[in-house]
Amino acid sequence: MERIQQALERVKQPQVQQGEVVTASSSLRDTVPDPIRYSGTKTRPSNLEDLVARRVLTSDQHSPFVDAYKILRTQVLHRLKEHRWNVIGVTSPGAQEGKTIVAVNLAISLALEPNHTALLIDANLRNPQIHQLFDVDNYGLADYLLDQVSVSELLIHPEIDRLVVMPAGGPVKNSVETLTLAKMTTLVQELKHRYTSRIVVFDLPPVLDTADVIGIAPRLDALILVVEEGKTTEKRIREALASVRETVPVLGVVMNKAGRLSGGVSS
Amino acid sequence: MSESFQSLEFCLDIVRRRRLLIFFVGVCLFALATAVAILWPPTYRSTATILIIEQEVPSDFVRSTITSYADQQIERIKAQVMSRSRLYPIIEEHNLYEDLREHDTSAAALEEFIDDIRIEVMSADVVDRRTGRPTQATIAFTLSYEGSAPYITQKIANELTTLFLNENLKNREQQVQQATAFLKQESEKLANSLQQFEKKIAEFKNKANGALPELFQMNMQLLSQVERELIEKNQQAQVQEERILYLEGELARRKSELQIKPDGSLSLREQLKALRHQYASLASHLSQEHPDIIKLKGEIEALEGIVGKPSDSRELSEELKNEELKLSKLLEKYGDDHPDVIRARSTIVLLKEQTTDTTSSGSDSEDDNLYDPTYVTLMTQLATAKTTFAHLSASKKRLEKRVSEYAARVELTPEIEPTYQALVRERDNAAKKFQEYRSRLLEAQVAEGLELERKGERFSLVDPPSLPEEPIRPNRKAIIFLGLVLALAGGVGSAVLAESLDDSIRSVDRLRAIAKIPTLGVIPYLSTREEQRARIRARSLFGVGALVLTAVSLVMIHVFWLPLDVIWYTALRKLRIG
Repeated sequence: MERIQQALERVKQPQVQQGEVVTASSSLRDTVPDPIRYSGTKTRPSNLEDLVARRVLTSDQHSPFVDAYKILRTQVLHRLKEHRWNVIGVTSPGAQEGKTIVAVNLAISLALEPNHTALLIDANLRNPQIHQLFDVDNYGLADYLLDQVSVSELLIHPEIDRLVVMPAGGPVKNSVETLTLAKMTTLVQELKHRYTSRIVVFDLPPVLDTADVIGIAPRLDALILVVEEGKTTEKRIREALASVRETVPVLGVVMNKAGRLSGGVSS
Repeated sequence: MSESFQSLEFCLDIVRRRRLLIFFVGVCLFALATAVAILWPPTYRSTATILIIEQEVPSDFVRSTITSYADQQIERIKAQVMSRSRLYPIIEEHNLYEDLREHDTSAAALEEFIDDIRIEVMSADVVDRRTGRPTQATIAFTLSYEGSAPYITQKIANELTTLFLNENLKNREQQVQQATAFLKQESEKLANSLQQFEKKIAEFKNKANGALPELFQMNMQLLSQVERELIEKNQQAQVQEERILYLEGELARRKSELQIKPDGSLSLREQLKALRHQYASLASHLSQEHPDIIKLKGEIEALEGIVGKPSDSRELSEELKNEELKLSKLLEKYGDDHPDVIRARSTIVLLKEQTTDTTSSGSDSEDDNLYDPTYVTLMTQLATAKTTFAHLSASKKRLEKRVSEYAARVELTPEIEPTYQALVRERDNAAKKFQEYRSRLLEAQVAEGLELERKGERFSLVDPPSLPEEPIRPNRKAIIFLGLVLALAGGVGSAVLAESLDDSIRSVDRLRAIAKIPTLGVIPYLSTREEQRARIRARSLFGVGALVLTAVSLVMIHVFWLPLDVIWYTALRKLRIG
């Protein structure tokens, strides 16, 4: 019941959100973004403990896990700055290799740095997961692309500074066609150029099992390939890299779930 | 340093990654090995040690006729004992290899039985007394049998040992008896042939008639001796002859001395003789009435009255012969009626008459001389000499005969020598051989005694088969240890295999090498509290589960199979810990 009510509310106030976004974008000229400028965006209070349980970063306190993302963030930022890129996709050769967690945590990590804002978009229309992580309704990209819902309605601020999330919506069956709609190009272009210090992170489906990544790749600046230690085979890494080589530059690879067998690290 | 550390790290990583696989494979293998170690049916071995004792009487005194080496004997006995006829009764008696006999042929059971019998020879390094070289001498051997039950094993080992020892004794006795019998037979044969030779030689000697080479020297001596005697006799004979001649001469001289008187006139007898001649020649051409004849007749009668009738028949017969000769000559020239022939005939008739007259009168002409002592002495001497001579010539003849005899022998000797020598040699050889065999036979008889008295080289049971207390197989500890090693190796091997089959990415270096693009970061695995809790729960659950399972299975074993304490002590005993 509550969810339906929220959805109804969202449908009722599209203008307000749109306006808010525009104002926010005008104020983005400053190097230091205003932390409370998402007041127009739907704010979803997050249960921190739940997030921790789902391996989502909640703070920048020292811990091996957090530090690893800090390093990743630095590396990514360094390369993006070099090429003046700001739209990256996070994918992996196969499913269940942790690309969503990496995408989410990278986005959070980016957002935690005061110089940037981050927009996390779940582009995995087949098996959307981000809404589950943040425990929000599954309205998002698919709704924008297929159902003409405005972007501002779909954005959610999960009470983490400088982070906005867009769930996937769906799931949809013909995800490739959906992702390659002209509307998608427009959206990406708009998001890319609206805020200079914003970095857009797409959580993508696996490279090898679907054609989704190939379809959306030309619209992205770069890809990050997540591989899982002890699971992703070398062959699949090579194949994944080869399949996207012609369409989009790959920023680098990330080794995920390192040291799982030795118990990993605790937060 | 860093590399090895890395590789060590790498290995540890692999172990960590594959610990479950390693654990399961290891546990399975170890459990399997333990099961094998405990369930493997035990094999017991009972062993008899048999010492080969050298003969007690030094071999310098008595040499055994058995010359084969101990190990040869062992092999031979082995071949004899390991025969179906000997072994199968044992199998049947003790009901061995029941399975095999039921499901396979009896030959298979026999083969198995032979397989379970083991003979091992123990040798020592010794120095050969004769050659002075170090060699190996068999001093003992062990006979063992392997079976599945201790009592049966000991029993069978005992029987086999008995069989072995008896076979040896029988063998040795047979051998020495055969040797003795053979020697006896041979020496008998030789004695026979020796006898044959002796007989031949005796015959030969008989035939050779003293011409044997061994008598050659004696023959020679005898020959020369006889020759010497002969010469002597010859000389004596000559002397006698000379003497006879001399005596005859003397006698003649004496006779004439007696006839011619010392005045030189003829003796009456000579006168008579001359008158008779005259008468004979006148009577042939004058008639009886011729005055000359009558005159002559008167003179002759007168003289015959003194001297006696002419006794010299020899002279008369000579005259008769002469007349007859004259007559035959005349008859050749003239006819029967020739006056010369008639005259000769009448002379012969007359002479014949006279001859018959003289023989009838029988008077001795020598009678005149008998009265002369010298003459008589001479006569006697002559007679003695003649007798001696006759003796001498007789003995000479005898000696000559002997000489020729001996000479013949001496001549014959070289001719028969080779044959004789050959015969003798053969006889000697046969005798030598016979002697040899005789002495050997004696030795063999002594050796036989040695064997029969059990004083020869023999097998002595020093350690009878004992009841085996511990199985020789399986070495359960070793199997368990091997199982442990195998478990480790298998675990590691399976890990390595899994690793080699697993193509998944493991290290950042590898990733960098494959991707050829920068690695942006390595995100460690974050285990959530939930997971940690779950892991702890799983562990405790596993522990509890294992405990429960163990307890349940132990209880089941205790109830359904064997009481646990029994198993425990059995296991301890089997592992030789208790």
